Amino acid sequence: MSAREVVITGVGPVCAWGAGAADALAALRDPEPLVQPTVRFDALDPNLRLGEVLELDSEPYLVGTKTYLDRASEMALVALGLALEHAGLDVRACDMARTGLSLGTAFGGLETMTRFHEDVLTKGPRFAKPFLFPHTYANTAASLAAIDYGLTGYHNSFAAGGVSSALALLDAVDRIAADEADVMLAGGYDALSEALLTGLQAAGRLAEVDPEEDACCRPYAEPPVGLFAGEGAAVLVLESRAHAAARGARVLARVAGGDARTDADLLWSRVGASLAPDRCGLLAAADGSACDAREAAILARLGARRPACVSGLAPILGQTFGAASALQVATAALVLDAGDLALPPFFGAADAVVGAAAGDPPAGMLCAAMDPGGMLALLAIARDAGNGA
Amino acid sequence: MKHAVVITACGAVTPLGAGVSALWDGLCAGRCGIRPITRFSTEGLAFTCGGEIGDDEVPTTDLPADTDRATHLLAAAVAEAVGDGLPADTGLIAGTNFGGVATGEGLFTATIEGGRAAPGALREQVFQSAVDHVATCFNLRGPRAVQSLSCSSGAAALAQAAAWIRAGRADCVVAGGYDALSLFCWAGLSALRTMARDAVRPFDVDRKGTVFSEGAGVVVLESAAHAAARGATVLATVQGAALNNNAFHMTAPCKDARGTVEVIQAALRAAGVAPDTVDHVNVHGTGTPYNDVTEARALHEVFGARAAAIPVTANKGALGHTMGAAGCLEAIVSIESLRRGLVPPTLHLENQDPACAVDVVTGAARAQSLRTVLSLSAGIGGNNAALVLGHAEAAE
Repeated sequence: MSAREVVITGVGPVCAWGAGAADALAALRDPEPLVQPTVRFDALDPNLRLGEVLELDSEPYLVGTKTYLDRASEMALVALGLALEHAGLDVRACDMARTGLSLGTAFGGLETMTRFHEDVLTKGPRFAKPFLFPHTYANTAASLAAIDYGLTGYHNSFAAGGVSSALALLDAVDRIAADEADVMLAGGYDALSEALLTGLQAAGRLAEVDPEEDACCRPYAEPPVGLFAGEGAAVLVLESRAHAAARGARVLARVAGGDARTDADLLWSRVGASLAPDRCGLLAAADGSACDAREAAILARLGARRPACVSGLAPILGQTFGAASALQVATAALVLDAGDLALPPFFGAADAVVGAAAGDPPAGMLCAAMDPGGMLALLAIARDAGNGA
Repeated sequence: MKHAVVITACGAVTPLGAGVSALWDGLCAGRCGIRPITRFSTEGLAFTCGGEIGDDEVPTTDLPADTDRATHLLAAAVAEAVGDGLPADTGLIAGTNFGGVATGEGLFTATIEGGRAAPGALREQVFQSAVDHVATCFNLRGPRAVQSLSCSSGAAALAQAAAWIRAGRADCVVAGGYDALSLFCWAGLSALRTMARDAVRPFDVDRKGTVFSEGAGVVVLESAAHAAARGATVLATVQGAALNNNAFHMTAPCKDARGTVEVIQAALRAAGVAPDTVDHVNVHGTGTPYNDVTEARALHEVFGARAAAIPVTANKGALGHTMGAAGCLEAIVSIESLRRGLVPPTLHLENQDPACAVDVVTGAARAQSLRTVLSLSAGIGGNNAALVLGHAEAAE
């Protein structure tokens, strides 16, 4: 494998912050928790507090007329359109043999699956709406993106729970590093749905909310109090440095390393060393669930290798599942590119784990992902020497 | 310097029985795994036969009892491939269309009816839980993932495992595909109007469509150095792989075969071999009117005049279309072909469509010295996958 540098030249975040880099940057300059009483799912449970994406104007970012679109696919397509716009990349003009797509999702088209199943139950299997079924696949969003933008090259789709978009991003990095692609569009997405919330409630994974109190996410709380669900999508434009330079693209940040495995110590030894810890921030995976204890233990073991500042997005955006890593990396790229931004506070997190509050703007950021089944991922994003900060 | 990737073990559970031997013997004997479906009510459905595997035909493992049945199929295949054990840092990648949707149906019903779902319903519906369960069961502590690329998923998992090994992310990975029949997937696939009532007839002039089946297949991939260090027997080599998309339509095939042509060419480039080195193709061969003619057209475009002389087989005539498992099961058959110098016959082909002018092996297995085999997969959403597999001696 050649050691081609991989840089980030565009981000398309869609989350409770809004849609696009400008919305995200504005929110990062004035950070606050956006997990709020539900707007869309109050009929299911009025006490739900969620990181919902409200007032999503997808029309400008959808190519052609869509007769039907699952919400998860809709957010993914908007994120892709935003990322391309942010990168100033006319992807249709790219060499498709050197341009790829890799997306990840934990739940895919769960809302459409439920709709299709309802048809099967109520009308009989023979009369279920045929047009719904193709939108129930975990690869639907990736396929629609390929169709919309003529992406005939490398194509991948992960359905790997909480590390879905981390694996998609690592896949993209590997393709570029191995000189198999010059441009990779990579990220992840997941949408809130009644089925998801019903399943999370049944599994006891959601935080119990007292409607009389101002509930918020409590990362690393002992005992864990449960998570607050969110939704979103983020797609990043990754390029080889040479390709980005050739088209005069602005480099937001550089991918300094990354890996995914089940062994936390091995993961941190492989990836953590990519960045100097004293000038590095961490966007942690902690979301208030039982998984947090594992991350807290890792942080305790790191000692001098522990990043200078620890924060996380779950208290702000909710747990965004398959989108989480991509949203973290998009955030990291924006923070590093801005140069004057510190990490947002880790709202609600236990001081004993997090330590000092956010400090100086970091020179690099580690983005951690975690799945309840045991997989961990860590991506190292570095400020690029070529940008202004 | 790329790590050479070799295959050192396989495992399969199919409608032809449990084990790679049952798969191979069944194919060569011309047995058919299609039968009336009993797992769910087919009342009101136009298509009532599929490649169902009886519960008593699936070897048991130590998975928790409430694990989705699709995961049990995966575990049974992994059990055969793992054998007496693999190094603890072995990874696991699985590809699937539908994962644990049979359990997910309960979650959907609870959501629709406003009831309470089973505590584990969402966990089983999340595809990643399958590899978590199986990795725990077999003490595979390396990296793991699930890919979902419709019916190319099983082949995509092999491609991903090879990529992880070549990138240094793992030395040894168990990879493959799985899917189980369920009312949800059957109702949906029926709605796509691609199914035949009784049999898959690849390349036949009277082919009516495909018949869906369930199953699982996995292979053990390792860097050549890792396999040598632990004294593992090399069955075949992964010379190259490629994934792409037609970027044409969610359900309709791209009739100009461009996507299939390009994925084959990309896989050959990755393998560093010329088209004239390929001496057998294990095709996707779904028996749908469009797939087979498109695939034949692609072979002619890539191989030119040689296309009519390269032996081709389509395993779905006997197995049915095992969805997420298909790409890996067909890779396993390709590996056995390389090892044995035999190409198994294509079942249910009686009158070959002149529009599919390729050398389809029928009747009995054909003896053929094989060095390089191409295995093709495709799926809904325009996904394509191609694997270039080489004889074990290519690893030396």
